[in-house]
Amino acid sequence: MKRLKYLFVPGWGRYVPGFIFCLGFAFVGMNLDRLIRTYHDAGVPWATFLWESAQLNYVAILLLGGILIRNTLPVPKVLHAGISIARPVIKPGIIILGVHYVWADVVRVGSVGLALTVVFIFGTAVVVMWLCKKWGVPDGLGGIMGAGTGVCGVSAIIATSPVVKASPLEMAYAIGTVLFFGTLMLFTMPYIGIAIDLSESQFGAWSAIAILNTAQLVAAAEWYGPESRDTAVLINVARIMFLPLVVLFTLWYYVLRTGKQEAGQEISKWQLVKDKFPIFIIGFFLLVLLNSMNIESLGGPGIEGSPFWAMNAVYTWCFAIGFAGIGLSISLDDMKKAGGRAFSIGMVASLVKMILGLGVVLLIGSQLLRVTGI
Amino acid sequence: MANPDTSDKQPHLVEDVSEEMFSSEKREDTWALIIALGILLLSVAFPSQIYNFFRNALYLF
Repeated sequence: MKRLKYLFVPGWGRYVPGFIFCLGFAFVGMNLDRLIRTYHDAGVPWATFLWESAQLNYVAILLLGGILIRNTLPVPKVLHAGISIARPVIKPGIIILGVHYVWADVVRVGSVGLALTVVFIFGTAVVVMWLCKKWGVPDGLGGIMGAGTGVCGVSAIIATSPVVKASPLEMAYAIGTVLFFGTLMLFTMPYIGIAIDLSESQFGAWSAIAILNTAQLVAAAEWYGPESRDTAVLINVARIMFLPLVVLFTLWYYVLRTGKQEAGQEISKWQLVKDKFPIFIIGFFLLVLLNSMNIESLGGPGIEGSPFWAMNAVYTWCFAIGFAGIGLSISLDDMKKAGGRAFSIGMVASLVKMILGLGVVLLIGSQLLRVTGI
Repeated sequence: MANPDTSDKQPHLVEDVSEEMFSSEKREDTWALIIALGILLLSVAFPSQIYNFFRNALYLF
């Protein structure tokens, strides 16, 4: 009973209006996408311009539209709570996306992704933490920026904060910085990718390396194309699996190594790993496993009339609701909280990951990064 | 004069906020698994209806 109660936040009713608003906004965004695509297919010039030149699909409509609405119209405060819970609806979408993959994809793309992840996560985290020490940045801010710029943005910052005893102000700076650069890259990278003729799978890998927040990188990859999304999700899953390890590394770097552990403070590393592990990816891997087993009764995304074919129609709507939540929650006022040294550190880390990540995916090429689903 | 209790409260505030945020992350993950399972079960029971609803019925054009 207690576990069931835990699923419901006290006062859950306050989330309903905002969530319904996001559902409505997602409905409008998806229908505008269908309208533009239909007219583009019919050869109407304005639709072709919007669809091909401006890349105005449902992702762009919901993100840009959401930002516009949030920062120009008076969005009633009663909607804010529900808007914040729309964003995580991307997670069931990612789980359902498991039907796109087989273990051969996980091994091939996942191995490359794992290698990229290890290099870029730990490389970034170590370099940022070292730079912070060198620049005299307080351990709290250095620790959370290292974790945040290395792993998964906001989640990593929140996971690491108590370990390094970051102050609320340092957390606000770090989160503001990560969100600012994530948003900047979300809106610039797809156009850069098109300009340099990056393949979809290469873009997917690039976005998974450079963009820190799961929702933002899924948005950028989905914006670019379906192959890009498939690659990005797989590499991102590999990356967020490392969240507990990065928290452990931060604990060692700032506390255990320097002997700053408080007297009587018991740190259970296993409990830390258990608490920080993102359990939703278990669902993703279960669906990959089921798809790989070729179970006749489940079929596959390409087998008309089968359960997996039906599920394949659902994930886009999960993403749409999530993107509606992202767009509507990007407040320019919040991003102004990014400031001071956190901003400089974030800028250096983001630029380095973006440029090095691009170089690496160009070297690796498309083949190793493409999800085939067979 | 600085309140000697204030600095003690800040780490606890961060820990409490982090604990609450992370228990909400676990809650999100649990709901994500429940929703995905629900969609899987509905898709097993009514594949064509689910497909038509999400690919056709929800669109006005």
